[in-house]
Amino acid sequence: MNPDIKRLDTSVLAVGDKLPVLQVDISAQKIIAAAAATRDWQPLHHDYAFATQKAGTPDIIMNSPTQAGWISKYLTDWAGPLARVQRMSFKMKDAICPGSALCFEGVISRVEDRVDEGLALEVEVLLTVAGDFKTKARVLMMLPNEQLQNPWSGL
Amino acid sequence: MSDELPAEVLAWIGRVVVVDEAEVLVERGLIENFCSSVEDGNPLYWDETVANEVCGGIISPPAMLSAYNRPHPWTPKRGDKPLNRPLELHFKVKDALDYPRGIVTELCFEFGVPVRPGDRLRAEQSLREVSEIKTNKLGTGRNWTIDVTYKNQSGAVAGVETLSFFGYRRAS
Repeated sequence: MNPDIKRLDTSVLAVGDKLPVLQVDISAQKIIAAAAATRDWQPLHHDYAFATQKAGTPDIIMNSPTQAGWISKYLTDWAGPLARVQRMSFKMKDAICPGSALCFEGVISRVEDRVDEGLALEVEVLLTVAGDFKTKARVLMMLPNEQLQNPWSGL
Repeated sequence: MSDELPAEVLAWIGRVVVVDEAEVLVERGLIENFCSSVEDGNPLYWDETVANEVCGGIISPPAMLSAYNRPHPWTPKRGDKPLNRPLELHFKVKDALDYPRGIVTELCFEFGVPVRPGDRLRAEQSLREVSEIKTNKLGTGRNWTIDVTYKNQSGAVAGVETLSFFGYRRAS
């Protein structure tokens, strides 16, 4: 395998380990560009007047595929492209709006060597703004192990 | 309000009720638009050399699974009236139960074969369950769960999206 491809040292991973924190300044442009890229034309994601006057939200809000995209980016920036996201679940408690400094924090909640299937790594990701909980996600990724050098092989 | 479910809703439980054929093909421009918008530089979405070596070519990010089956706002064939609304089954359930409001409470994605440029996805929406009537701070209503299974043109499952909703009527 190309040595330039980022590869996580999985031998040191343990339950309770924290991932580096990521902070992103969320603008209207970021919310609208991603809503359009996910082909989501609901006005709540691009129309300020609709959002505030009809939907009763404080501003336009980030859609769920965009949240999934940021969570996926957060994890694979850390784990590298060999990490294959297999399962992602999340609960959204509160809206994410322009002007927010959105903070991503991750904690490893499970490490399981599945031998021929690779290393299963579960991470709990918390999205907060100024300490307020917005979204909580649980993501299962498959990583290389001794038996399987590439979790994408065979797919 | 009766706790009994309408017959049409009961008949939907456990079976595919809505099938959507995507109006758009998966293609690199759409993938790059999305990755740019969430600042995702994963080379599997951008770099053919790395993507070829790791997963056999450029793939679509998992978070875009549902994007391809959302209808165009307009097409020359059908104008601005799509065959189905996005998540049509949710709206069918909400309308059948006569709830004016509905929110997504939980989302789960299970990913299968990677989605690749040139794929055309088919989305099969099925109703898994509907709860008893309950009351919470939003109002009185029911929870329901919808599975959307995305398949590529070969019939291989690219992923299953499970959405939990709460449909409700505000307390008067």
